[in-house]
Amino acid sequence: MRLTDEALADIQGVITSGYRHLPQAAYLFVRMTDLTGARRWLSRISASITTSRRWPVERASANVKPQSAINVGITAAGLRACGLPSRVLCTFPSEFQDGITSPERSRILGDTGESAPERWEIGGLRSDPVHALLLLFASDETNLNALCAAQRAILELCDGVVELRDSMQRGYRPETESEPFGFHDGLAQPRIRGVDGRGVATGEFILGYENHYGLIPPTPVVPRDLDPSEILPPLSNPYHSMESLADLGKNGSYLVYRKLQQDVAGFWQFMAREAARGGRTDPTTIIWLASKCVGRWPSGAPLALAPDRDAPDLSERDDFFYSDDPDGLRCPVGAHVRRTNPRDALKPYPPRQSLSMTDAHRLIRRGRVFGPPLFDPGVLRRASIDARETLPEMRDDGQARGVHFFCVNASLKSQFEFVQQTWANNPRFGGLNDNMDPLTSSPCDEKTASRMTIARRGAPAGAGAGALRTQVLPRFVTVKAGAYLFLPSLTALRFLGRAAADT
Amino acid sequence: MDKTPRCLTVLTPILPGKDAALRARLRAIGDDINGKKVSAGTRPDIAFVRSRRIHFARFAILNDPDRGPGRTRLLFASVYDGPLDEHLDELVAITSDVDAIWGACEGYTGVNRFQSFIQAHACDANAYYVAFRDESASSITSAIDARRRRHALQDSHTPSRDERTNARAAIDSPSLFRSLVAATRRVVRAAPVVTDVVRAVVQNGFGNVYHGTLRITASLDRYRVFRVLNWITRNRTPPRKSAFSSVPIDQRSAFAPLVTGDEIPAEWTAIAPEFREDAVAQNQLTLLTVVDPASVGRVRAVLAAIDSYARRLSPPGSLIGISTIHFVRWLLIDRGRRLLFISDYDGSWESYIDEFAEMILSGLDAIWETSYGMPPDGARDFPAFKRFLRSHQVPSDIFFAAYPDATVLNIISDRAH
Repeated sequence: MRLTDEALADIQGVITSGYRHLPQAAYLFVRMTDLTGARRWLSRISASITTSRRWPVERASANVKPQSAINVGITAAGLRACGLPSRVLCTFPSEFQDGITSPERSRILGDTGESAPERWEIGGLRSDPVHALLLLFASDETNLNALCAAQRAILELCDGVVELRDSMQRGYRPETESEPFGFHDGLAQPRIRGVDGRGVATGEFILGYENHYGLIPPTPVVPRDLDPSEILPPLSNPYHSMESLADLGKNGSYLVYRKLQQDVAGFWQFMAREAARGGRTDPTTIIWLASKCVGRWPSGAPLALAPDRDAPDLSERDDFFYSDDPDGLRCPVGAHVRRTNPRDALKPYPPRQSLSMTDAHRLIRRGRVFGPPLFDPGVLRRASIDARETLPEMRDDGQARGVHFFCVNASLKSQFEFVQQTWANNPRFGGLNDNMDPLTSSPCDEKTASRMTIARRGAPAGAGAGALRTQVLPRFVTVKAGAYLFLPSLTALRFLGRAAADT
Repeated sequence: MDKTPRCLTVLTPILPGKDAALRARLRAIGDDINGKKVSAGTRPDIAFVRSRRIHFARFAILNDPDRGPGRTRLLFASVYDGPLDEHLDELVAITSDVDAIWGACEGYTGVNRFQSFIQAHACDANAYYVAFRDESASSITSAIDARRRRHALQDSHTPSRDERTNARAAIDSPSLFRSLVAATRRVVRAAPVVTDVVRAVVQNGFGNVYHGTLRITASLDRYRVFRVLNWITRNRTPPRKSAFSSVPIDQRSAFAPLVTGDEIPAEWTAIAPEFREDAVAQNQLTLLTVVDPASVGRVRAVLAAIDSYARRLSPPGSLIGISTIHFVRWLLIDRGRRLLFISDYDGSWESYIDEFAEMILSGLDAIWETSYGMPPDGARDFPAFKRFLRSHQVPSDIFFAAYPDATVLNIISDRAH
């Protein structure tokens, strides 16, 4: 069922759009210490939040795309700060109530050692609490600066609502579409059925709609006495019709933020070292090995379709499967893209069941790159003379770079956390023995030492000795910041902006 | 001789007032297995690592409301190789102070009569599934060790290209003779299904067997035989009562028992971290639910069907398509009033339940829909079903696994080498 125009106008734009036409992004982290100020701020910004409303079509069928976009997410602490009492907060999922830094969450997410929340720059255990995160997108830097200035001016007007000191983050969408390791990123986004007419059930990404199991999942609610002017829609769940409740979640969602710093030099040095261990120093082998870890070639071409060499014409393809390659001869079972979206080859299930199971654990990713690229990713796609020079000699320049990872899901627990715990960080994923996600996992001790395992013909990755096994994978990605955020609907935002006091 | 690992389930009442001390003792042993540093001393110990016959073992303390308020009982559940008396002899041999643990139980009269004491309190499983019927604990661990040695050897030297490509000869293609032998074996193993059905009908009545079986297979249309059967019998999952979930709006509210005696073993939010449901490859689940007395016959028939399938038909490492279960058993205890579910599985709790829901949704309903607290829409109301499970889950104080790093899939591939 398609979402109505009315619903789309209530849903924050970041859920349905990656704002590809707005390459520049800034993230402002906000703390709210005064209830009146917090409400004033929320009601002020609610008017300017970008929604999922269809862009008007000008003559000649060209969309009039907005030149900037503003979205806002609020943490559990933030909801408390803007006046929601515990009888409302307790209706949010417990993982959201706990917050991303709680020990239970860190254990599930693998946020230990260098990635532990104690060490985070923003939103960690030793930094100021994040209450809200403003996501700003603009077509160029000038517009972005103007957008930031305007938002800061609004903050100035609201007492007790402050931007965390030195916390602003910048992100961008590189023209090459490459993340810092040099691989085409942001491919294979799930489609939302209610928006595109096909794809994954709307309720997997937007609260208030049927999810993969044909069920409208639980939603945060507000007792009607807290919403006397009936801003929020009534809760339509018949199991709770006895109580007078309003639906705070409808048309909302949850957003995960993680600042992932990447050791680009370390990544390519490791690949070069591993290639050399096998007696090869040519860039083709180094890139081949790195691509086996990623599951796509630098251009984005999936290994499932192009097992032997990069094929830039296949770069945007998403219509491929793994079930005809159960041992991972083309795309290794442990490769990053195969384990975070196993498609029809979730072992040992039949393709149909596997696809269905996978659909219950999809994420809409809205990340942006930060920091200057360490090298021109074009050298990878050409695998040229340049790469011969660049790859083995790559040295870190001391600058921070990586990805501001954002993902949208209706259930943090069964989507983001599930993918992280059961697929990415699981050393025994798909019958492997000691192979965590080669890109994003952070093995921290000898017991969890992870090695990329690449099956060869006649030598599957499981028990045999013939599969290629790398040395222990070092940490390439470190978590530097994070937050679990509620993405309220416009209606919910208006409610938060004027909620009656409850003590 | 049947090499299939056997299961032992013992329930013994704990003497009044002894449960706190017993729990503390068990926890200390359990923490030891989990690798936590516990102050050594004169406390009792069970050296499970010295065992050669035990696959899995757990101790848990359950409420025992039938015996009186505040009463508890000790659950010991294990899976072992060989005869029972040798298993018990080994258990005594690896326990430093048998009296310190079992002395807290009613009817225990010393280590000399341990065998008869255990046998008097052992309960029969109504359904029991083993992933590998022909593997002993030592054959599995030695296959794992062999793989580790292979990998260690490979990791310690630099491979040449040829070595990598020619490392393993192709597996022999099965000969016609061999496939005939395998097919015959399968038929021989499956044959007793006929007598199972007759026995189930005699014991539980035709109606219970017929409707119970249909209830299980309603969502198994992916198998042709069930698709045809479901089509002929017009067997469908009943329509949903609501598209909404029945979970309470307070996501952390405690589960309120619907009937007296519906034991809520612990606050489910409080038990999660020490459950180590994802610290290693394997995890465990113990569930205790109260069955509606009017439908015990149906549950018994459903379990008999599952037991017969698991014994006679299931291929190695797969229970109706689910390959994350090492061992699982269901027992109707307390004269059919309660249903005890004990499983040893791979991966996180969330993924385990997800796989069940995807592969055998109607089977979950068939087993638990007559238990108090099951949501009105059954397992399809996924959030409420998970809450039902969590709130009837009994935390184990000791959980031992002989090969904790190996998943069922790992064992399948280790077996092939």
